[in-house]
Amino acid sequence: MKILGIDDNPDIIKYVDLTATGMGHEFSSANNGRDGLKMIREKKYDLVLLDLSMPEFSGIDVIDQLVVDDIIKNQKIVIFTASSSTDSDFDELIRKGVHSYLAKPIDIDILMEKINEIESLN
Amino acid sequence: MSNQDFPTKNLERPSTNRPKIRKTLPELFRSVDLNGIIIDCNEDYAKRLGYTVDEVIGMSLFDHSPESDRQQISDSFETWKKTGSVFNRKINLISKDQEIVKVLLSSNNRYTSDGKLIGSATILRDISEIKWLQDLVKIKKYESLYENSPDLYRTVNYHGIIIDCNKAYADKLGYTKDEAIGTNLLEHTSEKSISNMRVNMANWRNTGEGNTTEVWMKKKDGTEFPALLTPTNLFDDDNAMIGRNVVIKDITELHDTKQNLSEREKIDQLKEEFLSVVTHELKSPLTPIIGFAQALTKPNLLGELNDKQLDAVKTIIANATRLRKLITDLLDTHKLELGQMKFAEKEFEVDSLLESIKNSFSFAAKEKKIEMSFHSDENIVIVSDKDRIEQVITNLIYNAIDFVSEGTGKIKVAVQKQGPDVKFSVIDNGIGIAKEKQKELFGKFYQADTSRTRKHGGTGLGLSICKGIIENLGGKIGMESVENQGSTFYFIIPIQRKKT
Repeated sequence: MKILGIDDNPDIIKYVDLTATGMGHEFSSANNGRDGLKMIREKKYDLVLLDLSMPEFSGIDVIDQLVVDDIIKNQKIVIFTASSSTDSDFDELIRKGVHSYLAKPIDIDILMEKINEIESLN
Repeated sequence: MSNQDFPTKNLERPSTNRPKIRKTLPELFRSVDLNGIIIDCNEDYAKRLGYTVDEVIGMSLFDHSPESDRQQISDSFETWKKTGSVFNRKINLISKDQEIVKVLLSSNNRYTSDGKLIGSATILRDISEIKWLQDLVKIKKYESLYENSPDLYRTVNYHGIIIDCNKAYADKLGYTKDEAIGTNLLEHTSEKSISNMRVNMANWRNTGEGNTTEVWMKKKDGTEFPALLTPTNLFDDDNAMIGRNVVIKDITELHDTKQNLSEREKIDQLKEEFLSVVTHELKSPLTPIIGFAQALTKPNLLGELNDKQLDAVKTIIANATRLRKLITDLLDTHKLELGQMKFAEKEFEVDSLLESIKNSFSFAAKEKKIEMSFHSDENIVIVSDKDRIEQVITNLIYNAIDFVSEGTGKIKVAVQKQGPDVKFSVIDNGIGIAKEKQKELFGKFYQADTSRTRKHGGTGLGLSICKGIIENLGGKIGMESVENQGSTFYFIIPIQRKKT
């Protein structure tokens, strides 16, 4: 699979890269929402791992822009979030076309499981 | 203290300190014989009716009754002569100038030594005098109330000119009464309240109505203070409005308290934001810490470690996981305290919930050689917060793992329908909890002594968070335990979440 990770924390990108590559996938990354959005517009990814809280251009902004572009339905977007918001907050994002979310810190088993789940869908 | 010791003398006030007492009730006195002839009277009686004492003596009492009352007086006089019975009642007297004087009559019979009625001695109290005094007292009373009130009073005319004020008002504003009287009330109003006051006065002039208003007052030295103004209208005898009387209450203290409160609210809000930011920032580094440590345990990602290295990495993971739990618990506790925890209200199947819990514990159960079982009434569907319920059950299971022994430990999760409610139980066969410790369990920072069997670190916040969550879902949480036999932790929640 082609996987894109968007997170402003380079250590998290490194961790996700290690896991995805180790599982035999192709991994690309962006460290801000704007670059991430540009990459999604230019190329089709099988999975986008998107951090919600990034300065300036956040994960929400990326999602909203994909909704405007009307290409969100072509994406499998899994959100990373550190906030302990409940289901109800994510209902809105799921409604917009987001696939699911993972709460930080993300256990490697859960991350691997999620990657496998998306792979089986594609 | 005995009666003899009682200093009775000191109780008497020295005569020089006695207040001047106005003789409020002049008593008129007259004495008559059986023919109704006045044989004696006092000075006050004669004076009140415009005579001298000498003139009065020898007159008939009928001479001092108005024409219209004479028949009635005569009748009761005859009755008195026959029976000797006297009445205390109001009668009218008439003065030399034909002025009616209302009096209250109170008579005593006079007898000879052998008991024969020979006349009466009568005290007559001047009622009109009482009435006049009452009016006087009334005015004096209000004048005194106005002048000596600790509240500030001012009286303004139609144009807002201060026509009177009390001492408290003048003192508070730093003027003498003379200075204050005659000035426009706007001169005593702070700049920031002037337009407000103009509107208030205009409105009053138009409608005659005035409500209690908060206004900033200005003192002579320019300093200001907040005040509450309560007006009442003043009318002349023709019922025309001539002005208003205003009670002014200095509310500096109230205002300061309000200010402090809102400042404290601001601080609380900052604290809240601070905590949520700090929690977020504390969590961020945990993702790479736990992630990389876990990656190290996967030979296909970073190569194989030797046993000592693997043990070191597992210790890092265990402690980082504990830290994660601590941060989450602190944030949850804080949110519950502030009532800011959000709860979802979504329909879900209990079976799917139990399946997810079962999966997440399958590894731990196997590793710790604990027998775990799940039992549920069929097809229970509830409308509540699935994630939060899972959080509570997970917490209860972690506690149970702490209580049971490796190898022989059994943990059972049971779900039963109970009318409109569902009961979730987590039952273990562990060491149990002593009776005296049971009631403290759900308090904050309580930790049962599980050092003997401790398998995971806790924050002591777990059960208090469970309690908070369950209460927010409209349910209740409880436990039963027998030492050395095991514990049952349970919670009962409505099938349809009730908002609390």
